[in-house]
Amino acid sequence: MSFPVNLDLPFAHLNLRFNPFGELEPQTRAELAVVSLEDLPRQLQQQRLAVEFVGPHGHGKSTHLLALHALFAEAPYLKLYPDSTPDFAGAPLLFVDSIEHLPRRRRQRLYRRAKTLALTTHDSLQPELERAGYTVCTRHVDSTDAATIAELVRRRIEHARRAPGPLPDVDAAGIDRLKARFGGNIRAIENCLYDIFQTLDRPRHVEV
Amino acid sequence: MSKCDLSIELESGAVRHQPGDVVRGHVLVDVNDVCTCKNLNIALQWRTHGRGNRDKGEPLRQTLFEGVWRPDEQPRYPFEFTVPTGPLSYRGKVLNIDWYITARADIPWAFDPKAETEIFVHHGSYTGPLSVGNDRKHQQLQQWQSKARGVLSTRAGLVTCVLLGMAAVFLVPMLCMGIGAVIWGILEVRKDPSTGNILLLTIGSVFTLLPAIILVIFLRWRQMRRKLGNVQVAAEAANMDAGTKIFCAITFTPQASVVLNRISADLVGQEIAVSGSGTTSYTYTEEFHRENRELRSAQQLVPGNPVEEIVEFDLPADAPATFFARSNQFTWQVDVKVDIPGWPDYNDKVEITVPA
Repeated sequence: MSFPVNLDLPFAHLNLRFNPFGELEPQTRAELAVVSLEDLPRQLQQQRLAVEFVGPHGHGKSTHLLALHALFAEAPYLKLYPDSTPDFAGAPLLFVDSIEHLPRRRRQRLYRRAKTLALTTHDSLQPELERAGYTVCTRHVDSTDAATIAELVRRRIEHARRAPGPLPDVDAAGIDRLKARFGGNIRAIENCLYDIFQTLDRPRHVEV
Repeated sequence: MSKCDLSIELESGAVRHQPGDVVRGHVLVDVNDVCTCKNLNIALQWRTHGRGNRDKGEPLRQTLFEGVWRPDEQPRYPFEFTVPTGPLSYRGKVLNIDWYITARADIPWAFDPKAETEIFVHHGSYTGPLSVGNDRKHQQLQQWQSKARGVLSTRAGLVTCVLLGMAAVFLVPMLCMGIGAVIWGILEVRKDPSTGNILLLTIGSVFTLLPAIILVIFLRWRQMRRKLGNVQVAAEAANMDAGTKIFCAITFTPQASVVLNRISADLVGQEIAVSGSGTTSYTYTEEFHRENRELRSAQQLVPGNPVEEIVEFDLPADAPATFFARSNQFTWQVDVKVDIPGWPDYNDKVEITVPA
C-alpha cells in the first residue's frame, strides 16, 4: 500500500479514520449534505413565510433543514421528540425538526410566536400554516437521483480520509444498484454501505 | 492559505498507551503570516464512532501559548498528558471508541487551524479500576432499579396486585364485552346469517379469546412462580490471579414437585448503539460474546429441598470493559433460565460491571 498504515488506528487499513457511513455529528452532516436549497435562503428573509420539508423517514428532511440552518446559525433550532414541551420565545426565524411531535394546539401557539418558520414533517401542514397566515413553501424530499447519491457517498468517504492515497469507492453501477434497491432512502443506503465497509480489507471498488 | 497550520508530533511516534502512561509530544506551528493567537489549546478526549450517535468524554485540556506568531518563526510547544483510566480503545461492529489529541489555535477573524491525532489506549499491564464512561443518567437508573428490585423482592405481592389490577381494568371488561357479543352474534346469526351478524360473532370471538389466552398465560406463569418459590439470582465479577471471573448464583426452594428440564446461565456481552432520537431512533445490538453453562440438568425437584447453584465464567482476556455513554454501551450480563417442560420458562438477567 502506498499510504502509511498503523493498524492500531481505526480503519487505517482502508486509509480512513472511521466508517464513513456511521452516524455523524449534526453539524458535520449539514456540512456534507448534498442538497439544493435554491432560493430558500433568500425567501427566508420574508416575514410570515413557512418552509416545510416533507417526506418519509430517512429521505433527508432533517439534512435539508440542517443545511438551511447552517446559513442562519444565529436562529434557534429545535429538535422535537414525542414528549417535547419546548418554550417558544418569540423568534424572528425558527427552525423546527419533527414538528409532528407537537399537538395541534401547541403548534398553533408556535405559529403565533414565530414570524418565519422552517420545519420538517412527514405530512404537509400547508392548510394549517396558511390558516395561521403563513405563505407556505413546500419541498418534497422523497426522491434522490443517482448523481446526488454518488456525490453524497463520495463526500462521506472523503470526509473520513486518513492520509493521501487510495480510498475505497463505489462506482456508478454500484450507485445504480443502491438506488434500485433503496430508492431515495438515504439512511437505508448508508446502513447498507456501513456493513460493507465494516468488512472491507483494503481500499478498492466496493461491490454492492 | 491560512495564517498558520498546526501539526502534532508524538514523542517516539508511539500510539499504543495504557492507563497511567504519559503521552508526550509537540504541537508544531507553521506560520504563514503574522497572526495573534488568543490561545493555543490541546486536549485529550475519547470519542465514539460507528452506528450510534456520537458520544464523547470530558476533555483534558491545556493551554500552550497566547501571543503573536511571525512568519520567520517555527514554534514548537511541548505537551504531556497522563492517560486516564479508560474507557479503553475498542473496535467493534456497531461501536468504536478512540482517543484523540486535538490542537486548536484561536485566531481572531480567521478560521481556527486544527490538528488531530489518535492514540490507542489498551489494557497492557494496567490492573487498576477502569472508568465505565460518563452516562450519569444510566448510573442513576441502575441505582433506582437496584432499589426497586429490593423493594419488589420484599413485597413480591405488589407485582401480582398491579397485574391483577390491570386485568380487572382491561381484560375483564373486554372478556365481558366479548362474551356478550358472542351470545348476541349467535342469536342474530340464527335469525339472519348476514355478513354483519357473522362479523359481530367474529369480533365477539376475538374479544373473548384474546383476554382468555392472556389470563391463562398469566395464571400459568403465577402457578409456575408459586411452584418454584422465591427465586433469587445474583452475579458479580471478581479479579483473580488467573484473570477476571464472573460468578452467578441462583437459589430457590420449590414449593411443589417440579420436573426440571435444566437450569442454565449465559454470559452475554453486547455492543449497543442508538442512532437518531425520539420515534425515529433505532437501537443496534451486536452480541460479541455468549457462553452457556448448565447449572442443573433434567431431574425432579422435591418440595422444600433448596436448590443452590453457583456457576463461574472466565472472562476472556481481551474482553472489553463495561462502558456506558448516552447513545453507546458495552454491557455484560448473565441470563438465567429455569426450563420446566409444559410451563413458561423462568427468566432473569443480572447486569454486571467488568472488570470488577
